[in-house]
Amino acid sequence: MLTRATFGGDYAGIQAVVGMDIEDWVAAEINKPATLYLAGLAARQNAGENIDAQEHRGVLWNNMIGANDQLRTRLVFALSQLFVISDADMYGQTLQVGYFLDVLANNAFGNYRDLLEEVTYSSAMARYLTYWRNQKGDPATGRMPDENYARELMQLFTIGVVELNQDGTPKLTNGREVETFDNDDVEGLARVFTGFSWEGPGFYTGSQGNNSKRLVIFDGEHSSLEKRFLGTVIPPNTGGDESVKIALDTIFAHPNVAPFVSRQLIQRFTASSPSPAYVKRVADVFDAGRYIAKNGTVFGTGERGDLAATIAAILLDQSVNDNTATTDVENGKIREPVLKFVHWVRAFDLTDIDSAREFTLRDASSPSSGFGQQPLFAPSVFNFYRPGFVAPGTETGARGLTAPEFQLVNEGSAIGFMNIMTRFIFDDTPHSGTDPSFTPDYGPEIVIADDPAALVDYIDLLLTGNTMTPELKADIVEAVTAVPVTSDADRQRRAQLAAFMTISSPAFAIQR
Amino acid sequence: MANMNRRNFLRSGAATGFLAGTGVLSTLASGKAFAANTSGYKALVCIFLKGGMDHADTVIPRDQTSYDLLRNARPGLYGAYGVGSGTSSRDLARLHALNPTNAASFGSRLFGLPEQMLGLQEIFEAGELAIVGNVGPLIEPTTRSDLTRIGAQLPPRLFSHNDQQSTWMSLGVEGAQYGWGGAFADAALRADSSLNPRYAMVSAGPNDVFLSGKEGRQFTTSAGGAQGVTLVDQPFILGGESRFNAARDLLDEYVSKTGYGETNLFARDFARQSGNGVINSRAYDTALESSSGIATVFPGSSIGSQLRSVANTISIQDKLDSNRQVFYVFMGGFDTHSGQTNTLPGLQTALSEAISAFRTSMVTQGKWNDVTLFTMSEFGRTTIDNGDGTDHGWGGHHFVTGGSVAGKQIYGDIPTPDLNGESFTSTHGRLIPKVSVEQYAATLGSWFGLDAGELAAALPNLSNFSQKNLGFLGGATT
Repeated sequence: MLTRATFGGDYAGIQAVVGMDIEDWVAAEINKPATLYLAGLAARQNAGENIDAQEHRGVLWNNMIGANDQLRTRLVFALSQLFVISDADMYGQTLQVGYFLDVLANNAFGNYRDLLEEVTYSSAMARYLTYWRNQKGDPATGRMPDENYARELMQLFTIGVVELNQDGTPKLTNGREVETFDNDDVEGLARVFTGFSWEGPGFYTGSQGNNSKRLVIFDGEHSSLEKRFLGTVIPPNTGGDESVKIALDTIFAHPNVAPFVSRQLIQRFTASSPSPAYVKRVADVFDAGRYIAKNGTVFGTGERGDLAATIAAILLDQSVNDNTATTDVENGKIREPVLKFVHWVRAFDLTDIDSAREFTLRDASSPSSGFGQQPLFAPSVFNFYRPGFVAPGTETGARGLTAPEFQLVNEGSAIGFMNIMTRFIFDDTPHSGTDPSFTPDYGPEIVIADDPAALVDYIDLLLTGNTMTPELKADIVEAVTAVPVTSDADRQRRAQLAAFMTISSPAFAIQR
Repeated sequence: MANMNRRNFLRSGAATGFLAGTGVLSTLASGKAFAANTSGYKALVCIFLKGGMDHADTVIPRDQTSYDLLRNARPGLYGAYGVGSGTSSRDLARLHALNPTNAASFGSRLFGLPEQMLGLQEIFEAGELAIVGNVGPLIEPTTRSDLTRIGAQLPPRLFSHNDQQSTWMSLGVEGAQYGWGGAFADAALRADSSLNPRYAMVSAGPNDVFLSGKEGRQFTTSAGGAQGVTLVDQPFILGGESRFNAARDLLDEYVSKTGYGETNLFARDFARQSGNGVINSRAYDTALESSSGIATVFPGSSIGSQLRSVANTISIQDKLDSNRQVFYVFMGGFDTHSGQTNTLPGLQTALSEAISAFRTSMVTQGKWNDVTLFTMSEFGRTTIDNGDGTDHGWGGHHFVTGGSVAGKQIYGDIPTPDLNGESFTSTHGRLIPKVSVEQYAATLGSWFGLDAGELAAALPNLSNFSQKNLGFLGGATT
């Protein structure tokens, strides 16, 4: 459960949940206060620190590694892969991203409809999908409103491109998929997302200082034309905020939202290729807004779109908690590189964590010299990988199983990940300053390193939840045994070698 | 067997030295094959311009009438460029003239490239670069009236980034598993069992569907070349003393394994990919280290270093037993909904400089006649602006360059920017493609050595178009 719902645990963390009701654990996580981003960043700036070099990146890593509200933070990372902004062009706009992360954190266990609205009014999204200061059309010049957000809001954040059954599979009419919207809908909806700007005296005069506040709509710059999309007609001369409300209500009411969002959230937590039955169970909870666990614990408010209920349904589903979870060969989640790295940090109780000082963590997106993935830094609004990706030439692909993370985790990136992890495991990563940084604690491992089998058993529990195959374990034990031990330095070598081999293994890569 | 002899011949250092720079490699390639022709060396290099390249801000009208039509459709954009100042890169007088040999077919119309693309203009004028106008996904020849005609077959999910990227690469919407780049390499691998399937499909960029094939798997190379596993290769990490060698040897075996007794399918796939990644990368690395490397200095841009990786790989193709290769590189940033004037010119500079360096490297290696580089992009953009940017379109213009290209010509169609014309959709001025992606691909595939049957198998809608070869790689226009 720790691997599925958090960024992983250390030995003490694992022992703490042994014997605990998982329903109680999930409920406790949901009730923890949110770790937020903006206030801390703003305070640092007010104290004179230059936070322009995207200091939020360090904060995000720090929270993934150390925040107490692990489930919420894990969900923030998941939501950041649904509502994708790239902070690549946010240099000097750190607070704007801080505000956006707060929107995700504050609404993570709230309602999806509210989340949609707050994301829509966030400066970071408006910048990324180019509707910040988006002008209404101009009949004199022929200028049309920017269509970017209108399209991606429907395609990527809510309903997707084809009509779905409640289990996430496409609806077929005469054997063909049915598209949810066409370009006329995009053009009509594009008129809604006009007039957004920073708060201030005018459309073009809002202060940059307001970029970490909710955006406002200037009705003078908002399209006054009729807005027609998805069967809804917003009459002419409807104001901006009212138009946005009608638009989001219309989109949110679409039956695709539950299966579309549910399937992608499942993929971020528990299964790369969830069964249609699993998707339907979660989508039904999304629509009902309530989940009642086996032990009677009730999650959610009963309002459609409740994310606390949805997450509980994902994590507590029978398919991930009964025996088939480990025996079903189609089960499991390919862990994205960020999850693997942070799990290692947590498992080995690293100290001297100041992520902003670690050069790798400022931009880990290179598959040859980083992890091949940096949070908030997807190459496009289509995220690091696509939910429907089926890997060619693989056994999962032959069965039609989706494997989004194989778009990052593949032949081309295998060595790069091994090599960057080697530098972390051997405490040799480049960082600013001469003070130690990201220092692993091999103390517990050194104590048992004279017994390679015990050492590998321990690491098997720590990193893979005891999912190593006998052959894998034997390979690691053999190599570890081959390191002769004459000192604690050698015992540490054994621990490091065992950690490296485990981290490179399929047992660590695939969460079950 | 002729192929084997040919490769053995190339392996000899003296022979390679003799051939370098003479450009005779492709002229040696001949012979009627009953399947894909695999004689000599041939490579296709795809540059995918992600986001949807604004074709109309790239191949720009240079006659006053067309220039004014476009300017009037884009007042915001031309204003932001400062057009009229005399110093704007989009001022008519500053455009670099294209003088196509087929100018007559465009009447009084003239074309130019922005000054950021001087390098490409020079290659065009030298006869080694062609422009293919108004290419896009089509099921069948399509006109404006077809767009509203019941029963007309249109490609699904037009104007959607990911789906149109997938359509350009694989002729299917997102979720398609195999690309036509992979299919072309597959044809060569099927025809010649001596070819190494590990390096027939090489990406220096992301792991996209274009290179997914059935006979081989995509190999990824990075700017620094392939890498080894440092914990194995650099003894000091685990400990430099020889007493650690036994553990290192076991580790060496371990990372090259492609399975550890897994039953879970995702775990099995991971193990296989990881092990193969190590094996293939090491073999590539060994070949690269034993070669003298390439002399050409490439720009430090992302596209520059990706094309440098391609040039590196081509320089060792004989050592890798790969005489048919399809490469894939990419550039991002073309989705210019906003701030287009701030971003597109820089992308154009990067593209032009990287292609120019690549050409130099290929000429130096004596491979320029054997390599064809071409651009793709999921769509062109609207002719009408939205203030300071443009939105998703359909058809767009593309570049093809190489020593075998029948260049200094504009193929396909570059319609005059009269938005009421039949070439445009009824709103926003989106180009309705004149040339299908499959005709574009077929022309490349035919040069690459595929026969008509193989092309038809790789390109499912090609049969709906009478012209199967656009002629930009010489030979008959059919």
